Amino acid sequence: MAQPIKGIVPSGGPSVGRIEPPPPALLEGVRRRDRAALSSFFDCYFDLVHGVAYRLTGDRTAAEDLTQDVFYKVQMAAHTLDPTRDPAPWLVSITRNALYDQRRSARDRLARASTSLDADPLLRNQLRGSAPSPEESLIRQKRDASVQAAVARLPESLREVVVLHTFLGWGHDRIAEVIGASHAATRKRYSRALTVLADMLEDLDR
Amino acid sequence: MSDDSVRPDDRQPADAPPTPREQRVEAMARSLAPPPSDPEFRERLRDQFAGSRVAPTAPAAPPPPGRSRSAMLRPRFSRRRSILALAGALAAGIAIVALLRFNGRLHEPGVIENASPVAYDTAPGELTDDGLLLVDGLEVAVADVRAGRRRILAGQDVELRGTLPLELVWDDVLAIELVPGSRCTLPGGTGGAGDESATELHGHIARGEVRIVTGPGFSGRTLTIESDDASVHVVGTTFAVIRDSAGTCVCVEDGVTQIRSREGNQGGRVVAGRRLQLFDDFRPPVDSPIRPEEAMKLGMLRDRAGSRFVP
Repeated sequence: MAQPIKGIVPSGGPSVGRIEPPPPALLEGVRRRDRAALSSFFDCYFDLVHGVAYRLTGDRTAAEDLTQDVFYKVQMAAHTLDPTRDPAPWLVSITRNALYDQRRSARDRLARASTSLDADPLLRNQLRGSAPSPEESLIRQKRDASVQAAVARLPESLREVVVLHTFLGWGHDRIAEVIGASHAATRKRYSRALTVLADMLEDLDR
Repeated sequence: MSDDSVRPDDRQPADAPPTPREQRVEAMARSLAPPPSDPEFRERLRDQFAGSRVAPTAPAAPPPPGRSRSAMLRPRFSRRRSILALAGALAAGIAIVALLRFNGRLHEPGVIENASPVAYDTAPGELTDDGLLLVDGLEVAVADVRAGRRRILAGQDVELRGTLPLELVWDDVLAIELVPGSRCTLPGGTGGAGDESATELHGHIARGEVRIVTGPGFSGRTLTIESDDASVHVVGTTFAVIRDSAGTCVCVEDGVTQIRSREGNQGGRVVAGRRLQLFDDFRPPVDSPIRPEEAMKLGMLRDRAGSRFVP
């Protein structure tokens, strides 16, 4: 396994937090498809890609499909990576595009018709609190599952703003750049998303 | 917090300030536990990514007979979901085929949707139709490719089974001859199937041998064929890349190629009539004249392709 590379802020907390861009030398290695560089790059950004994928899809299997597609696209476009720029927005853009590609495919329409958040074993366990744990932990698990389910039910345009803002901690300027909307529009969407989420989570909030 | 972090004035002034309820919801969303990831999936994907061997997720398909789901990268379907998915896929497949038949053409399952169509066709000529291809892990009969019932796209992972070589042609850009048992990713632009105007083409050879000749449509483009331990860079030539248990070898019939080990510390230019073998075990490269049989095979490929490339 590749060693962690310098400059990465460990996630540890609820969100992936800000990931410091890897050194340009490592990104140069990615451009050359150097095995060690690719491995380090993967370790650096897997949590970000998978996390965003999971938050956007609300489904573990779909998130893994999406993550695989993203790293496939990165692999194919590695030589176009600009070593002087932070790869995170590039990766998030690829993740969004890959998600839209999946959504357009018949395969995804089929999968979405036949699965739900409740079908996800992990979420189901969280909801049922199947593992014996202290009461606090159970309450937290249930709350997380409900919030994640509510986020997953948001319309796509609202969901992605919530995910990028709360999960990645990105500001609206950066989000606007990635999703191709204006700063005001992303703020509006975020505000609207909070209102919708609050309505959906009314029981939880009492 | 960084400059990108949330600022108190991030909310649109025109909007009402967040209610305490919305603030609590926001706090809950921020404090969501990190999404769980399957360590096995992560390890497998890392290994594939480090080796530039990640494949796009394949269209829904059952696992090959005798192969457990755990052996596949995408194994996590419950029995109920699998049955629903298979039934749905069958119905969708029938509907799609019926629709496309109605439109006067057949569509090919097993090919990436939304891919810009850099498609490879079989070359007309001497080959028989008894071969079998694994395209992104799905079985496709060579006969179906020849008859136009299946397309093979740039960026797809192709393994040739059977006893005869197979020649695939991308218009007047490339002709590629696959030796039985070989497995490679067909060259194309970035992003899988890429686009026909791509100028930087990339392919990969996992094992076996591919022979390549470039045509007039290749002009202005470059091609890089990679293996796990080396990359071969060309701007127009007739050459073969062989990936075997010893390492990677390039044989050049026309033009010049550049081969480099992954580490970049071995390799160099390989000119017409020469072959350069790089070894996995750090032996020094061996530069030698191209073997007569390889020169003959490459010459035949060039002549066949040339007769098609030049009207």
